[in-house]
This record gives sequence, C-alpha cells and structure tokens, in this order.
Amino acid sequence: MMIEDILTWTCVYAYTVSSILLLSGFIFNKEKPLKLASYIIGPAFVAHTVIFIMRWARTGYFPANSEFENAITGGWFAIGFTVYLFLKNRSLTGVALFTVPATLLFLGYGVMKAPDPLPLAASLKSSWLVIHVLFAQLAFGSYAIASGMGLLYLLKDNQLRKDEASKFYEKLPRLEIIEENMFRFVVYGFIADAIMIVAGAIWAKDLWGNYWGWDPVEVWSLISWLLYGLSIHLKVTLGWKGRRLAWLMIFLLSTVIITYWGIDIVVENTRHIFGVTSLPGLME
Amino acid sequence: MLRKIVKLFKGVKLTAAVIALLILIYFLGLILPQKWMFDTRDLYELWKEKSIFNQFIDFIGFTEIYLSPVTIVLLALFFINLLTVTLHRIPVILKRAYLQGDMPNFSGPVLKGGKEVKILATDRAPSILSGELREFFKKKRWWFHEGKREHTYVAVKHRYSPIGFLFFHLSFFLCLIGGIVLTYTRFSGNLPLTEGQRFEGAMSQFRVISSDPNIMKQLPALSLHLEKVQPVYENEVPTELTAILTIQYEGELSKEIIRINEPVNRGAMSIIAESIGVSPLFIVRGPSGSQIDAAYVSLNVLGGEEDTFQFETDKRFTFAVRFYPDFVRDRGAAATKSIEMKNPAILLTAGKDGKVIYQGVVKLGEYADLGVYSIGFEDVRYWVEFLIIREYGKIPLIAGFILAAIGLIMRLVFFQKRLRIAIEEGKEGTVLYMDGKSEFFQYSFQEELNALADGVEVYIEKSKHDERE
Repeated sequence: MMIEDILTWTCVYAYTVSSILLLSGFIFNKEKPLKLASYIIGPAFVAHTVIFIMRWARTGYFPANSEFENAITGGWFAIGFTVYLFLKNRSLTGVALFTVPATLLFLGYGVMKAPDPLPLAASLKSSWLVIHVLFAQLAFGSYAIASGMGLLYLLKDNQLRKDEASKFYEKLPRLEIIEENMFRFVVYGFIADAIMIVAGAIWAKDLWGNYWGWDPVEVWSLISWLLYGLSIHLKVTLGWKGRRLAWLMIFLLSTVIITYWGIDIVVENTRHIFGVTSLPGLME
Repeated sequence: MLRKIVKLFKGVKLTAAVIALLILIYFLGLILPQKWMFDTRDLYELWKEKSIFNQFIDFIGFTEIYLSPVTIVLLALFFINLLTVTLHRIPVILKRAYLQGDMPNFSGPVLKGGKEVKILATDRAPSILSGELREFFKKKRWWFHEGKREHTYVAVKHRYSPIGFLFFHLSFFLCLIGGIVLTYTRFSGNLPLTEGQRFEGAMSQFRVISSDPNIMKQLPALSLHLEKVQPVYENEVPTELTAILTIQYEGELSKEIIRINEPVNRGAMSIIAESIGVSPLFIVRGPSGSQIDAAYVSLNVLGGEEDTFQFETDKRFTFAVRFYPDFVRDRGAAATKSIEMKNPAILLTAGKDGKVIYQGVVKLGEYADLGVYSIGFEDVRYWVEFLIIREYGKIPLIAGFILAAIGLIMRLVFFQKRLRIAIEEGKEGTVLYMDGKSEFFQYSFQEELNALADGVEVYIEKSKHDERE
C-alpha cells in the first residue's frame, strides 16, 4: 500500500516537473530543459510501470476499475509511446509536451477521486474486460501521441513561418517526418479503437443481451472512431496535410477524452458505469 | 444521367459528406430527448406539448433518431456509396495486388534520375545478378517478378494488402446482413423468477417483451425452474451473482449455473441474468388468525428504494415497503449495517382508502396489526430477472467484425511497398537501378529503400565471396 502511494506521488511530481520543463523549453526555445525532462520521464515511466504491475498483482484484475486505475493504465500507454519515441528518435522528445501534461491531469484526477482498489464488480468479471480496455487505452495512447505530433508540427511550422533561425526548432524533425509519425499513430489508434469497439460489442451481448444499445458511451466511441476514419480518408484520398491535419488531430483527441472520461460525468443514462456504483439492487 | 449518378456515388467526397452527416445525427441523438427516456407514454406526450420545437423533432422522428427516416436514408446512402466504391475499386485492387493486368513495362531506363532511385554498379553479368536479386528478395519475403522488358523486375512487399480494402468494406455488408437478420428475428423479454418459481412458457409471465420478432415468431419450447440464487458482496460491491436453474430446452433437460457475464446459450436462445431483488413472503391473517392470503411479492427494494404492492383479496389496502437486509437502528431510524441478508426487516407503510393506518419496522417472523387484518413477514427469497433472447444473424455479424479487423490490419499495417528494378549493361559494367513507392509513410520508406540497396550490395559481395571459396 505504502510503496504504491509513494510511487504514485513520485510519478505525479515527476510529471509535474517534466511538464514545467517541457513548457519552459518550448516557450523560451531552450534545449536544456527538454533534455532534463527526458531524464525525468524515463525513471517516472519505470515507477509508473511498477504501479501498474503492483495494482494488477494486488487486485488480481486488469487495472480498469476506477478513475485512478483508468488514469494509470491510459497514462501508461501514453507515456510508454512517448518513451518509445525518445528511444527511436531523440528529436521527437517534444511530443512529450502534450502527453506528459495530459497524463499528469488524468493521474491527478484519478488520485483525487479514489486511489484505493475496489472489489471487481460482477459486471466487470469477464475476459473481454482486458481485451476491451487494453485496446481502448492503446487507442488513447496512440491518439494522444498523434495529437502531440500535431502540436509539435504547428510549433515548428510557426517558427519556420517567422523565418527566424532557431537552433531549438532546427533540432526538431522535419515537418514531413512529424506529419508521417502523426499519421502512423492515428492509424495505430484507429485499428486499436476498432478492435475495442468490436470487443465491447461482443462483451455487451453476454452482459446486456445486445451487441449495440445506442448507449451514450457507445455512440461517442462510434463518433470518435468515425471521425478518425474520416481523417484517414481526408489524408489518404483527399490529400489533407500540413497545418489543417495537425489541427484536426489536436481537436479529435477531445472526442476520445469525452468518450472515456466525459460521458460518465455528464450523462446519467449510460450503462457504462461499473464498479464504483452498484448493480441494480445494491444498497448505497 | 446514370453515369452522373454512378460518378456521384463512387466519389469519396460523398463518403466524407455522408459520414459527417451520420456523425451529426449520432451527436444529436445524445443531446435531443429520446422516447425511451420517458417512463410512460403520457409523460412523453406532456413533454411534446411543451413547445413547438418538441413537436417538430417528434414530427421528423428525431425522438427515435437512430431509426428516423433521415438516419435510414443516410445509412442507405452510406451503403450505396460503399457498394459503388467497392465495385468500382475491384479491378484497381486486383491490378494492385498483381492478380490481374500487365506487369510494369519499363521501356528504357526510366528509373534514372528519379526521386528515390538507388544505383548500384557491379561487375556481375545481368543474368547472374537477376538470379541473386531473386534470391535476396525471396529471403526478405518480397514477391519478385519479371517485367515485360528484359532485365526489369518488380518486387512487392505485402502484395495482397490492397485486398484489405475489399475485406474492410465488405465487412460492413456482413454486419448489415447480420444486423437486419438480428432485428427481424429478435425476441427479447424480461422474465422475473423468484427462487423456487417455474416458467413453463406462458408469455404472461414476462414483465415486459421488448422485442417481438417480425418473422420466425415461433419460439423454441423452453421451461425454467429457478432453484437457488446466491449474490456475493465484497465491501458493499456486488462481485458475483449465481443463479442455479433447471432448463428444459426443446425437451432436453439440464442443470445450469448462470452468472453475470456468463449467460446460458441454447441454439439461437440466450438466458442472461440481468438484475436481482428480494421477494418477501407476506401472509395476511383475518381477526381469528386464519390465513387469508399469502404470496412471495417481488419487490425492487435492494437499492434502498421504496416499492409498493396491493392485496389481491382486498384492493382498499396499499403497502409501501423499504427493505433492510441487515437491520439496525441508527439514532432511532431504521438502517442496514451491510447489504448481506443477515437480519432482514422491512419498513412497512400500510394505507387504507388513501389514509396511512400503519407504519413500522417488521422483522422476519413478525406481524403488523392493521385492525381487521394482520400482515406477517414470514420468509424472504431472492428473485432474478432473466433476459430471454432468441435471435439469428450472429454468424454474419461476427464474421463482419473479424473481416473488418483483418481488412484494417492488412490495409494499414501491412501496406504495400513496391520496387521497380532495372539492370542495364554499360561500358563500365552492369548497373542496377532501383526505385520504389510505399502506399503510406514515404519518408520512412526512403530509409527502407536505402537499407535494401545496401542489403543487395552486401548480398552480391557475399555471393562473389562464396563463389571464390
């Protein structure tokens, strides 16, 4: 219990410091803060991984039973992809400007809500949980990276438009490479998203008796999947690229955030509220 | 005219427009009140009368937006567009997968000076070099084929990837077929059963029938006997619900355990445990103490809410019940320590002709005195509401899901990369030209092309070395 708490707060503080460093780096066009941030994010990701494994081992189920666990899992994928990009191409460190603060916000929200593990509700006891949530978080992580790439693209493009030499921005990859990576993660997220929806539909049949119930969460996930599908069409067949595509990627992430975290907060008639509240018949 | 229509329907702009409109419709479905949200028809009518806007959205069918004529028309357009695009693309896809049409015909050293050209000079004879290239690409799992002109070749990675487009788009039609069959053959009804109770096929026992099939109305012979229900709670969270049932399906008898997420499936029929409640046994006695009425009354009170019932024998009496599974008094008020059935009690409010005549806590085995009658709480059992479903269409639907996933992966992960290779003999030796194109990620492909060119060079050197050995 203690170790998990310490590691969680270590992650929160590490991501906070990294976010400040990343923002400072980009605002003041300095490379050193970015370098420092990358030194912090690596160990923080290791701590994040340990929390993820400890929680799974302690509860015996895939961590997806509360806001805290969803933040841990979703954040793990977003930071995991970021670290992967660090290792693959050092010049892509800037993508963390988007993923680290986003993970920090979700983690902070999860910690404030309910960090203690809850017993797994009967409705969540299904093999489909792992498949459904795993692909959901994979999709989220990929889309978050695509949005990060979108942001990076716009920052670099703005600098190029100013026609001022900047060593800081010169070290970022070429716009074409940023755009290609952005699209790569959209494609990855789109496939994971599709598998998530299909796995959810098959699970829903066993749990609720129908593959599709036009539930608000289902409808939003369909909307966001269709929007990402549309963006792929726009790029591949209608030739969308550049700033337009970058803005689209940044905007589209909001639809995924609404699906995963927003609907449960604002809508009462969703059947996608598990674990933290009861099945019909449970006393408050 | 027909040509113009076909041109319109095979256009990707129409696809984008229809998808955008469908997204808008689905979004509206989230913010506009829907018919199913109203508990009764009267409440819906009241809401409708409130404003002209409400009447308007009701008129255009947007209170059942997912089935509204506008949505159906859009879906029809979507599928017509999908079909037209798919049919139109078949020859292109077959050509791209090199299943139909000519191989590339390199009429001269067209590759020279191209953007992504790699040039290798070697002293190998063209015939030997072509054999080495074939071996090299075969080892790398590239499909290698001769071009029309001598010593020209095409190498393709993920040759069949374009077929993924067909798979993905056809999967929508499989899902459509599955969805239509499901909709038209679906029977679904909610059947509440108390422990010990039987269902012998009487439709009147269903609390509600939410889907009545349009075709194949005859349901298979089914009878059920609910033997035992066991909910499990951990820290006030329901972690398990076990219902033991004897099922007779088409004459075949079996004993089954149904849990949440673990329905029993028999042919096209599924039995799903949906919700749980309690059925207290109420016994009504007259002034002499003789039993007048007795029944297990299924109440929806486990969530702490109040439920009501009436005597069948005397409709003047009404009863409101709150249930406490583990009864305690908390500062004088009725409360429950946990949600486990350790010390069940009810808070009974009895009314007669609209006036409250009794209110108090009645524990298991106790009686409440109502004047003429007394009502006892003698036993309590669980009830479970089962969702009984019969539907067909699962196979095309699941096949559609699988085909969609395969199609997407084929198309977007294993996308096609093509190389054009030409060998020319010059005065200074043999020159190998190589250029290529990737369906996506052209910049990354440039790196791959460089690596391939290096690989070919190393392979040729290795072959030479092996020959010398």
